[in-house]
Formats: sequence, structure tokens, C-alpha cells
Amino acid sequence: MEMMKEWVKNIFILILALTFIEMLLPTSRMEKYIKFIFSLVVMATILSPLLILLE
Amino acid sequence: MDYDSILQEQMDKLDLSELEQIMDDAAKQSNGIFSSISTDDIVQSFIDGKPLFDSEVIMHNLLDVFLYEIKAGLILGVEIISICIVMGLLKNFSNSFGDKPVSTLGTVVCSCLVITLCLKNFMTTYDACLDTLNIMTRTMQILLPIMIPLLIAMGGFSSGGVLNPVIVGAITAFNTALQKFILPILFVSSIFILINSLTEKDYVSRLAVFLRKAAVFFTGLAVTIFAGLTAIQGLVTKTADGLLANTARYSVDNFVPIVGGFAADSIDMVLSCVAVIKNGIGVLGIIIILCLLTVPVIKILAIAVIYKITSILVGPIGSKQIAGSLDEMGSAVITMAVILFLCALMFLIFLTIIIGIGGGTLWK
Repeated sequence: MEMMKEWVKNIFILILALTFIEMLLPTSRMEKYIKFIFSLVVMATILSPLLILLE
Repeated sequence: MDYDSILQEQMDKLDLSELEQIMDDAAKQSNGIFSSISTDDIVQSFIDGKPLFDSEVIMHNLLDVFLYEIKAGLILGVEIISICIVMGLLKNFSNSFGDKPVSTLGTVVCSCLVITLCLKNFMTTYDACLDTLNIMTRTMQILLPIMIPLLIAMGGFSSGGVLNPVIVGAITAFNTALQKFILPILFVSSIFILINSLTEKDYVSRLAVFLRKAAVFFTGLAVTIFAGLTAIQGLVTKTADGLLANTARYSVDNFVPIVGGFAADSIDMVLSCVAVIKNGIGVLGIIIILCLLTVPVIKILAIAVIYKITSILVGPIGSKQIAGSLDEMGSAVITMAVILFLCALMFLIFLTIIIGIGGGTLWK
């Protein structure tokens, strides 16, 4: 239960933060790649509860 | 000795004060949709063959409550729509001024406001749902210790002995599962839906829909398993009860000299009277569960309607993300009503199984 709360909180804060950071990014050639990396981070956070299975 | 005096005597021995207290509370809470009825009234109307309710009044009151709840929820809809109008304006201004980051910042802040409003509203709905669930469970827990002894008293020895632990276990397990597992999942799903309205990408919307569907699936599964198990137990023990009661009646009839025949007949009469009382209490239980269910479900459905209508109205003026997430919120709220409904359905099945066992025809 506690773990699930943590997970949801992480995803919530991460997406909120990424939205603001994406806005403040300067428009450059690197912008697309940075956004892609952000998506990867979100995916990793969604998958993070699976780490427990590996332990 | 006529049936009236037997009924009266049996009724006096029962302590129904707690049950009637809950009935009064439920009737008060339902804003006059149902009036408070006592077990005496129900048993009397069984014997006289009178109807228990005036269905026209109930339908009329139901509509009144629904419209009242819509009115109460209208504030939320108006707030969200006005924020979305501001958002639309911001977007148009930014196109003419050409300053992209500032306008997107404004849009995101407005989305955050909408999310806060929705979450606050969802919390109230969630609490209402949890309260209803708890009070329905408590009603069942009060009802069972009254009904099961009556079931045993009228000859359902094995039914009473087997059904009591099964039903009590099922109710407690179901309540815990809903409180600790299914409703939190629904909550998490709605949080994901809302946070997804901030971004242009579909980061977590699939996950949210998946979680919601999983919650509904597990509720359905739990109801099916518990109700099915109990129904099968009821069927099996019913035959065993008939055997026991018939044996008792037969031995009184044949082994007690001279008065045995009369004694056997009066056993039948007393048993039938107990059956009438048991069924009266069962019907009272069903009415209480319905009373407790109606108002929260109407409230939740009214909120769902508000979400859906707001989503329709936001569609043309606001962003696609916000409209979509409001629509999904409506579905999440409807899911909550569905879960409450399934829970009440299971309780009603339990009560009908107890009522159905030995309705006086068990030992004929």
C-alpha cells in the first residue's frame, strides 16, 4: 500500500515537473531528443515497481 | 391459540432495536424516498396481503433527489467551464502576440486549477462511496445474528450452521477487498487520468483505463464467487434441513401417544410463524440496503452526468486533453456507482438466500 502511494506520487510529480520543464526549454535542435529522453524517464518510473520482482 | 398470538409472542422475544435504529437513520438519510417501516408493519402486510410501498411517490421523490443533486453539482461544472473559456482566450491571444512559452504556461496553470477542482470533488465522492459501503456492511453484520437464529429456530439447523460463517466471511472479505484494494485502484486511476490532461502525450492514459477496468473486473469476480458459493451451500443444506425437520415431526406424530398428532400439527404452525417473522426481518433488511444504496448512487450518477456534460461543453472551447480527461473522469465516477451497486447486489443475494430457505414449505 505504502509502495503504491509512493509510485503514484512519483508519477504525478514527475509528469507535472516535466510539463513545466518542457515549456521552459529553449527551442533548439536538441529539443526533440530531450523530449524523447523525458518519455523514457516516465516509462522507467511506470516500470519501477517491477524492480522488486527482480530482487 | 391463533397465529396472531404466536407471532406476537415470538416478536416480543426478539431484540430489534438496533435494526430499527438503522432503518430510521436510513429513511431519514433518503430524504423521504422511503418511509421508516417496522418489522411489525411488514409482517402485518404479509398476512393481510397489502403492498408495502406507494411506487408513484417513490418515483417522484427519486426524480426530485436527482434534480437536487444535479443543481448541487452544477457549481463544479460552471467553474470548470469558465476556466476553460479563459484557457481558450489565452491561446488566441498568444497566437496574435507570438509569445509561445508564456501562453503555454498560462494553459498549464489553468489545467492545474481544473485538476485541483476535479480531485477535490472526486475525494468527496470517494468518501461518500466508502461511507455507504461501511454502513451497508454494518447493516448486514447486525442483520445476520438476528436472522440466522430464527432460521435455526424454524428447523434450518444445517443451513444456519453452514451459512452463517460463509456469509459473515464473505461480507468481511468483500468489504476489506473493496476498501484496501479496489477503491484505491479507482482513485489512482482517476489521478492518472487528471495528470494526463497536462501533457500532450499519452503518458499514463492507457494505464489509467487499464486500472479502472481491472477494478470493475475484480469486483465482478468477487461478487460472482461469493454469491455463487453461498447459493450452492444454500441449495445443499436445504435438503438436509428437510430431512431433520421431517424426522422430528414424524417421531412426535408416531411415538408420543394420543396427543402426538396435535403436537405435530402445532409444531408446524409455530414453525410457519417463525418463518413469517424471519422473512419479515429479511424484507426489512432488503429495504434498509435499498434505502442506503439509493441516495449515494443517485448523487454519484448526478456528478457523473455533470462531468460528461462539462466535457461536451469544453470540447469546442478548451483543449482536447481537458475534454478527454473530463469524459474519463465521468466514467471513473460511474464505475464507483457500479461498484456500490454490485456490492448491494451481493448483499441482496445473501438476504434472499436466507429468506428463500424454508419459506414454510421445507418439510411438506
